Amino acid sequence: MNCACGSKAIYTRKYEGNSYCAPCFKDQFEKRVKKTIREHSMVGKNEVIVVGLSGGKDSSVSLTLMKKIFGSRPDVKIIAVSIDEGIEHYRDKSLDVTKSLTQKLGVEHYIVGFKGNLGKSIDDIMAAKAAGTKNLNSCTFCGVFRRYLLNRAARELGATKVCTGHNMDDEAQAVLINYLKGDLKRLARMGPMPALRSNDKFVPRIKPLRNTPEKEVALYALISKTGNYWGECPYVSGIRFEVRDFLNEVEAKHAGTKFSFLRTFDAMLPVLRASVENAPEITECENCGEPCSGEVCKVCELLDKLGVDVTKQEALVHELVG
Amino acid sequence: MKLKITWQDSEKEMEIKASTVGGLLKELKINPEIVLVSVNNEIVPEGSAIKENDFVEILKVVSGG
Ligand code: SF4
Ligand SMILES: [Zn+2]
Ligand SMILES: [Zn+2]
Repeated sequence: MNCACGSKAIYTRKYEGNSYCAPCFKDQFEKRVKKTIREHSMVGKNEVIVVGLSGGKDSSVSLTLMKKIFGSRPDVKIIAVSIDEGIEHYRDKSLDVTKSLTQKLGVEHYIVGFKGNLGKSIDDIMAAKAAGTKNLNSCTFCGVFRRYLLNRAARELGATKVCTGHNMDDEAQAVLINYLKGDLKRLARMGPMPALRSNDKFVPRIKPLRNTPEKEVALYALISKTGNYWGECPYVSGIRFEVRDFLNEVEAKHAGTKFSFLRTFDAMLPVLRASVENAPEITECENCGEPCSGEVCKVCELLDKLGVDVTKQEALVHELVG
Repeated sequence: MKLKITWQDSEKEMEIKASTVGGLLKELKINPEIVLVSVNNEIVPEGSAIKENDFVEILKVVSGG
């Protein structure tokens, strides 16, 4: 099986029927990412871009490519921020990987911890669950706290954009989950570019890998020797993983399903956004002052469940590692 | 035929009927969407042939977290 250039193929894109050798695949992959960035005007002039870096394949590839594409632009600054959720034997290992990556790329890098800033690590929360004192889903806390800390860290670092490693599979899963939960408001906030209504305290998010399937991100990471961590979180649970398996089962039988699912969603987005136009304005949390859509933000609500007081709003504690 | 297969941290020698990578995944009931496969240390497409004594590594590429 050969690539169009005549070399031996390493991968077949089933949804388009073409096979690629390693250099041609890399080229195609980078072209698609650049096109995604361009099409949605994700990066303009004079930007400070904070790239969320977990050390997994997606964020490692997104940082590597952002640096490759924008590293020579004097008006674009790239900073990496890693969130340490406090998950032993998992995040500690992936954080080691992030440090070598940012060192190799020469990127300024900060680590922001759950424990130091919110008082509890995910390990603490899961220990409380195991002890039977609280029935909590780790991923709920993890996702809400991570987004919050990443946004605040980015704001404090003067960022104009937050770049995440979300790939096409992540996006398709999130869309389907919000459908299943009937969460129209959250659906309207999704899509390649941030929603209409925003707040100064929210740093707009960009997702340059949004149009690339997870498997291709992994392949790119492998052949470009990005040097990322492949481990899995010990607490993986919840509906996301059921949805992930479901979408992959359908994809295996009907190549291109994930693509068309996401394209359909994007096409409907303007109509969807117009119809939730009457949704409440984004306000600021009574408790901590961060942007939210109710009276008290989700972070404060969850911290309250954990018995942590967060009324004080000090600058984040972070560690500069490179 | 006999193959040496690495999958999820374990290495096993297995008797396999399939003659391609895609067929092998089917036989092992592994969804091709969630893995990349290398044969004798080279990543290969699903359509690639496999032969006796090949060393096959299956890497899971979807992750949680
Ligand atoms: S799987 Fe859940 S708990 Fe683990 S890192 Fe991801 S969101 Fe956090
Ligand atoms: Zn080629
Ligand atoms: Zn709050």
